[in-house]
Amino acid sequence: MRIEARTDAELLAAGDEAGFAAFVRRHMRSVLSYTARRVGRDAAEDIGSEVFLVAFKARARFKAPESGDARPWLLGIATNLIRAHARVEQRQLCALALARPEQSQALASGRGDVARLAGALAELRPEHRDALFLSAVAGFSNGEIGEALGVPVGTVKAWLFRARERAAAALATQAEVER
Amino acid sequence: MIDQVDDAMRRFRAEQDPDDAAVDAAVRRALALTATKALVAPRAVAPGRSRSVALTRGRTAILVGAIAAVIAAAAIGIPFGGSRGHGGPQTAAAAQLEDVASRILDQQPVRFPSGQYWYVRTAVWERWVARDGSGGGLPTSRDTQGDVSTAPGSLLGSLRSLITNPSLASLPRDPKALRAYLERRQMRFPGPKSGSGLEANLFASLGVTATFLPRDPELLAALYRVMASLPGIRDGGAGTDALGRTGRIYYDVAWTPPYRWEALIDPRTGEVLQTRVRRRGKTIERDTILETGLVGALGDRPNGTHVDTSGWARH
Repeated sequence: MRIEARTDAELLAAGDEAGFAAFVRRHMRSVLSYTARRVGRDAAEDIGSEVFLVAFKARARFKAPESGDARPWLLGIATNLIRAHARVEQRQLCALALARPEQSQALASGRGDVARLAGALAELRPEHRDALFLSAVAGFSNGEIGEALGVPVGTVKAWLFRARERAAAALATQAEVER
Repeated sequence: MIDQVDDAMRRFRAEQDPDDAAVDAAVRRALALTATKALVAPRAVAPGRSRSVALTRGRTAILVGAIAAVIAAAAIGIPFGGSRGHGGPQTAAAAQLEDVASRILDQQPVRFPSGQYWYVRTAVWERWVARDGSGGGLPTSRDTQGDVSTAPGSLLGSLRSLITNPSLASLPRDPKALRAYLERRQMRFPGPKSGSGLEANLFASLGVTATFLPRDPELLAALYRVMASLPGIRDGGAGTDALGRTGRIYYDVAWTPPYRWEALIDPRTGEVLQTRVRRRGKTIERDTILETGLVGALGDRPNGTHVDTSGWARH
């Protein structure tokens, strides 16, 4: 069987360099994209490597979900590593929130959402922010977010509800102020 | 409003998404990190062995990136930094490299028999280079995934532009003649034909040869003596590679800012232990050579195993 056709679990179980290299190639973009959106490219470069180092060391503990997709597991690792960079993320969010409107608009492809959203995200509880990023940026289902964060689906629903509610309120409030 | 939040989130900092090059670089970094910290950390590499197993480091991407950076910078005319000298061992680095060259020559010179192959394994690829152009004379390589990798191809393409295999066997061992030869080769390379741009390319070719290509002690000593003659060569201080081996770091200020290519060299043996590319002081690529050595045939490894290379890329 071609190595690309193997499942994530098979690649990890092989425990060899070739299998692991294929695993890294398969998932690096997702890990980098998620991480870079949260802490920026520079920190994402370091975290991206660390994620797979942790994954390699912990590969024996990987339990494949029904989908067979290891992304929830990997982004869960990434989320834990991002927490070690919490101050970086918070500082970047605050900087974005304070950015002048024209800069924010440029970053947001012509819309002024970035600064408002960054301000809202900065005020969210970390676990709520994790859930929101995993849902909206990674495109995870509630079940996958639960796998990533190690919490029940009910908890994920509650976190997402509160995160969206607060973000929406902040967006609406700030939008109102700007009128 | 919920939809508005999710929609805004999907666009949030989308400019931070990595492009293909960033993903490829991240893959190489992750594999190197895993190889050095998880896969091969326990591997014993005999220090002080000039030919058996112990070079370190080599990474396709580093050199490809490094060489590409120089070429690209030269092509678009980015000014090079660093003070200019006028040759000779004027700096501490130059004097140290002269010492390294002398030590290498104190070792028993070894001429590699015709038909043998120089083997190099890094965290991401392994390859064989014919010592004298026989047996096809072209490097055969693969990445550790087992597929043909474009990265080694790019590297080898760059190498081929610098030094061809047949030329390796006849490279001058006299430093002045070697430098003149390499400078003539650089004339066929895109980029500046003089000044610091030329020096940057020259430094790259010296580093590539010392790190990845077959060379006997005489040639290695000559490479370091040419390196010592570069006005921009600098001592970056003591350093430790990913396997914990110590050496001294050398770089050339002609390298294109904000990039810097550095080589960690074992002063006792002259072996390049590790190379890395730094950008504004931060390491963006790092290669540690895991294994090198002479082998008898294509596919042979120094550890005695053999692999069928018939389906691999030949560059």
